[in-house]
Amino acid sequence: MSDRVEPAVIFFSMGLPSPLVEWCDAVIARLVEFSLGPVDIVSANTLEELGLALIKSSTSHFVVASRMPSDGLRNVLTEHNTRYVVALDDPRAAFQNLVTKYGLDTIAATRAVAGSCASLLNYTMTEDALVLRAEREGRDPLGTAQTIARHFALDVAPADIAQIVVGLADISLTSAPSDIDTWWSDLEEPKRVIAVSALDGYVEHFAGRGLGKLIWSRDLFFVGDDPRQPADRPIDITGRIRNLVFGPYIILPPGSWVATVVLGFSREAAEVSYAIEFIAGPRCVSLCRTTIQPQGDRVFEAAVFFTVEPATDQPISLRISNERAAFEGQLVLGSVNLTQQSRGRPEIPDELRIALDH
Amino acid sequence: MFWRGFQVQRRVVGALLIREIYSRFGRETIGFAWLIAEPLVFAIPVLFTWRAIRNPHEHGLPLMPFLWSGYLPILLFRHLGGRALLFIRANATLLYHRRVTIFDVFLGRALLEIGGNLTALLVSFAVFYCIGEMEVPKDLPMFYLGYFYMIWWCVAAAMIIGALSERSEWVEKIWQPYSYLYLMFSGFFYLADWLPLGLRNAALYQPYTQAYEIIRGGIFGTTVRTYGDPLYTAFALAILTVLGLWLMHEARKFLVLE
Amino acid sequence: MISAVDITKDYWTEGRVHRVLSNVSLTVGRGEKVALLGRNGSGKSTLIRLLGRVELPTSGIVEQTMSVSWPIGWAGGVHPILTGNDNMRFIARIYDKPFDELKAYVEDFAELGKFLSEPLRTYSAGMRARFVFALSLAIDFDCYLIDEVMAAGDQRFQRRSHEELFEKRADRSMIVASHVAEIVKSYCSRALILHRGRSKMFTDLDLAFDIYNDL
Repeated sequence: MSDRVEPAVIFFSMGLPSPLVEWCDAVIARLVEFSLGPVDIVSANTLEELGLALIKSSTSHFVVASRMPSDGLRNVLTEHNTRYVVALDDPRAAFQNLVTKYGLDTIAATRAVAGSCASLLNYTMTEDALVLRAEREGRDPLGTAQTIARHFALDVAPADIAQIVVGLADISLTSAPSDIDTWWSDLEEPKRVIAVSALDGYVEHFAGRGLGKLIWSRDLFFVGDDPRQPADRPIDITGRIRNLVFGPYIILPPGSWVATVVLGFSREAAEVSYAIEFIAGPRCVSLCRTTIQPQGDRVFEAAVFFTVEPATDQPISLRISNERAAFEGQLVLGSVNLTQQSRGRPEIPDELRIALDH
Repeated sequence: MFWRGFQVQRRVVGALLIREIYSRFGRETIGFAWLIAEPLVFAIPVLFTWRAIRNPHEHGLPLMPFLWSGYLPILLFRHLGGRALLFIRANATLLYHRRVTIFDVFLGRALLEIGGNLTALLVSFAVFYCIGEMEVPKDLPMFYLGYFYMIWWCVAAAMIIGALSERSEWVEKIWQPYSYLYLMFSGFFYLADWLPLGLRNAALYQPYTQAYEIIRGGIFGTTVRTYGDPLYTAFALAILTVLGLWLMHEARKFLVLE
Repeated sequence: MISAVDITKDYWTEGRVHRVLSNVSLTVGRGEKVALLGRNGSGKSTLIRLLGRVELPTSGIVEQTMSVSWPIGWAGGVHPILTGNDNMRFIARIYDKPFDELKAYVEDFAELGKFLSEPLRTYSAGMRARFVFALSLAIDFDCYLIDEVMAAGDQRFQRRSHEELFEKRADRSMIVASHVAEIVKSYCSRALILHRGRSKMFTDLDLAFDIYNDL
């Protein structure tokens, strides 16, 4: 240890909020401690949060633990070829971790894991990433720790690495698949459905089959502007023009999306028109807005197209409002299905581009 | 329904009666005279014509009293029944006044008609008496009773007709033919004695036939055989009256206003 | 107290049933003022007739423990052939009120002078409205049924009507069928909206009007 002020070195540990990434955070911190000196684990997802954390801290070295790292952060890391670790796990294991260890309720846990999956989608693509998988690397703590040390070019003796691993033996990196299955089947049906339907698409993606369909159950939404009232029951539309349904405030990966919103109406409600809008972030930036008129149809399926720009990094919400004051009627949300159309910006067909340029 | 002071009802019906008079006949007294004149204008020529073309005695009976005692009740029935059609909806808004019941409205109108009819009865009797065509009824109390029953029948019938006319448009349509047929079967043209036994029994169930029998019994006394049964008639008319009152009360469920 | 409990009213026309009111309920206590908001065809006039016992509901109960006026300002209660005096006499008799008192009040309020001995059909629309309104106020009721009134007469008359109704009789109950937001918001504590025969009660009058205006 020297008394000189050393330049700060930052190490990034990202991942789904499962035991694996927590282990990674700890391993990287110990490795850094061994090789470089005092280290702090800070939590930051965006450049702004990172900046704040650095200013507040007094140590020289940092391990940045991110669960929903932003696109902006990724761009900077890529630009500077900064290396990082991405710890992936079965999203269900992450969910289980949040619920059992941190006591989050189903909705919050779903939101956290879904957001995490969405954020990490692009982080696995670059060369700077060391992607760890719970079912592979999670079984070999020692080997994995060594790989991490090599990835970050940390000079730590093998014996010390072994000692670090032993010291962290109480954190289990992975659960047996059967344990996960048992826990899930013990989970009450409604909660299981909420989590699985929102996360299944990502499970597909991490298994290499491409991003599947994401389904947001109505429990993730709430009535009007009151987060305490879930939209899992019929909503009385009597009243002025206002928000009827809002939620779920979950991050989506960039790309073009088509959302199928299924709504049920009582006879009177079917005669009113409604505005369906997708918005991003706390400032409610509108991504798209459409009006539907059920005109007597009791069940209505609306297909809505919107684009999530790269670097949006904002949680996405759906907002349904009545367009005229309503005397009576009830509306019930069925589900919202999301399918990604393409991964980048939509392309303008050549003939349109030519026409527009003239 | 009727547990209010008799006084109150008297005032209300009285007010309705006056209103009815003014609205039908205007404020000139000549209008009121028409109330009496109208039945007479029909009755007297008709009766004289019959007299002219027939024998003075038919079936052994003097013709004039027979026809006279037959025709004026017909007029009463026609007037009360005809004006009862849809009277509820025409006057429904009077019901906004809490003290006014539909029965009061009915009574106001009915009293007017009855008053006119009785006056016409008296005047026509006077006319025929003076020219010697008629004598004073032999059994006056019986005649009064008979006519009283006749009035009661017409009132009860009018209540039923008025109430039912709100429920079905058929009542209005049937009224015209019915009131003409009524001429035939009501007893205007016959004494029960003239009918064959089977028909006679059937006829005697009808309150109007009964009323006619009692009236004729009153006019001709013991010179003819009549089958009037005052007790039965009162009973039958009481039932019809209760039916009429109940139907009128319920009729407000079936009103079509506006 | 006037209450209509779960009122349903059907009409039969040409063999088909038309449901005008469907499970409508309304209770007005002593001194309460309730507004009745409804477009044409909403069943509003039918409800007023039911409250006035002119019609009976198909099902449900209407109860009154207070005296209720006829719809104020509505000209159906007077007979056009009768003179002003005759109409007043009729009302005086029905309500057991001394004729002279009634006549004095109406004379003073409606200012029709000699016209009172003329048949009502000779009156202009404005005169008839003034007469009818004056007659309505000449009798004391616990509850006033007010149906789209107050458009009659000049400013002075209107001001006076307003005063007579809403100030001098401020302690009475009222059922006010009106579109006019100012009146309703100033005096009523609740509003019942009628829409296609169905009813909903609102204690927030601004909300009620927002909804009503969009119907």
